[in-house]
Amino acid sequence: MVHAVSSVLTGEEGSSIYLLQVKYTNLVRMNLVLLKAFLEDKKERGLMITIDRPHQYLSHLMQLHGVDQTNLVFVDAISLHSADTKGGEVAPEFQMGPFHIEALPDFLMKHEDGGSSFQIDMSKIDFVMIDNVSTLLTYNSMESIKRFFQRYVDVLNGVKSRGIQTALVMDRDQHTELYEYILSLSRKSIELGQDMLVKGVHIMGAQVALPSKAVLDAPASVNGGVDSPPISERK
Amino acid sequence: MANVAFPRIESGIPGLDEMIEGGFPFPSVILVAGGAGSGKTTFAQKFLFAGADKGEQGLFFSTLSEPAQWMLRYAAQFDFVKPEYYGKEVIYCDLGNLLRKCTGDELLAYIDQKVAEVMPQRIVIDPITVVGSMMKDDYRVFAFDLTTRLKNWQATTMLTGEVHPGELYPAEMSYAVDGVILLMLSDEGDARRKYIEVLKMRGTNHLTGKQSVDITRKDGVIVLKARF
Repeated sequence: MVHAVSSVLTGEEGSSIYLLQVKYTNLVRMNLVLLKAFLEDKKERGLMITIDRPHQYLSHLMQLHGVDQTNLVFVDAISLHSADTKGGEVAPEFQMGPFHIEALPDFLMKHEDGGSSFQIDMSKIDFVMIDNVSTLLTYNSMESIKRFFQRYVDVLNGVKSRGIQTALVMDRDQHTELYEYILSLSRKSIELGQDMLVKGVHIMGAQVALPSKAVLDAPASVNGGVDSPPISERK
Repeated sequence: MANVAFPRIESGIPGLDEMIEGGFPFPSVILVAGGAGSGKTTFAQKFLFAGADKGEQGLFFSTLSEPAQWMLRYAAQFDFVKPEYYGKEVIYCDLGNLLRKCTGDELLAYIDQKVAEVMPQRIVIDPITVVGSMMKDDYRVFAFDLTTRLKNWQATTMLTGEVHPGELYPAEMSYAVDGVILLMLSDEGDARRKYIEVLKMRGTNHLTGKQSVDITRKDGVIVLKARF
């Protein structure tokens, strides 16, 4: 399953956004599958922005499920507001919190410029994820979120010539307007069922690509599930 | 700002979801409080098995009320209990031995570890009140940390709470949780009737007042009368 997911996150020039549609109860599992796909299968370096909960939870989860975090940088936008005592590695904190998400892209750039004690070299980042994007609506208006994404895309396009892949996981039925907006920015959308099987891959501006039978049969296990052949995409 | 609706998961209790806008908020921590024989454990079991029917992972922590061995023997009498889920969709974990010797932080660390390992969407701790009576540390702080952690693990958790005669609910835990559901027994003439009341459900326009419930072999706890 990890390989099946990573196979649909490839082959693009420049920066791209991938939108993965899962039921909200599976957001955590999907994030873990994605991290395995990017970090282990594709051997890439990434940035995880945590908005829904402190980064220590995902870090603990990765540790327990054997996912190496060496090439992952967390930026934590919620810890200061969570009153959570869970221990773990310290991560850069976006101290303005999730209420000022429009400022986050420039915060990342400031770090790139060495403007703070933490150093995030965006030129070395291959992928970005947000845990999780729906939570933005709890703290921001739809207009602010749109401004965030517009700035975010500009920043990413300017950072690295070969591009940064952004993978966002959402439940379409929970926040339709946000889903449709992000879909409009996305290169591909990938639909997974309640059983975490890949149900379809949609290439934006192209016809729907159907997954192979093997992929449909493969469970999205995060504990060493069966890897499947790549999804065949037909343009 | 957009009015953001909570994601919800179905409780599995027939008639209850209509009282709470479709189900429990996800994630959240819900306290189900009641005296002996009020149906707390049956309520919690149904919550997990209903989730398992939908492909959601369940994790049941038993404390010091009834060992899993005996609880499961009684639970087997209910039609909704599917033994094929044991150890897979519904995982049982006994905290009893740990509780006899650990601190609050050690208990939190153990629960953290188990939840990270299983990655459940539904969790039960049955009963939580035992922890309070055994804990040497500040129980209020423990309750706050426990509920914060459980929600941050992205699960809906049901804590069952034992109450003494004349007591409605365990006060300290009730402040830390997102929802409080009371299961009550009432002497009415020659009969002892069962009732349910949603006392608190954050972010939810819930029905107030007592509703009659019954416990059946087919469905476990069911709400008999709700003024929808």
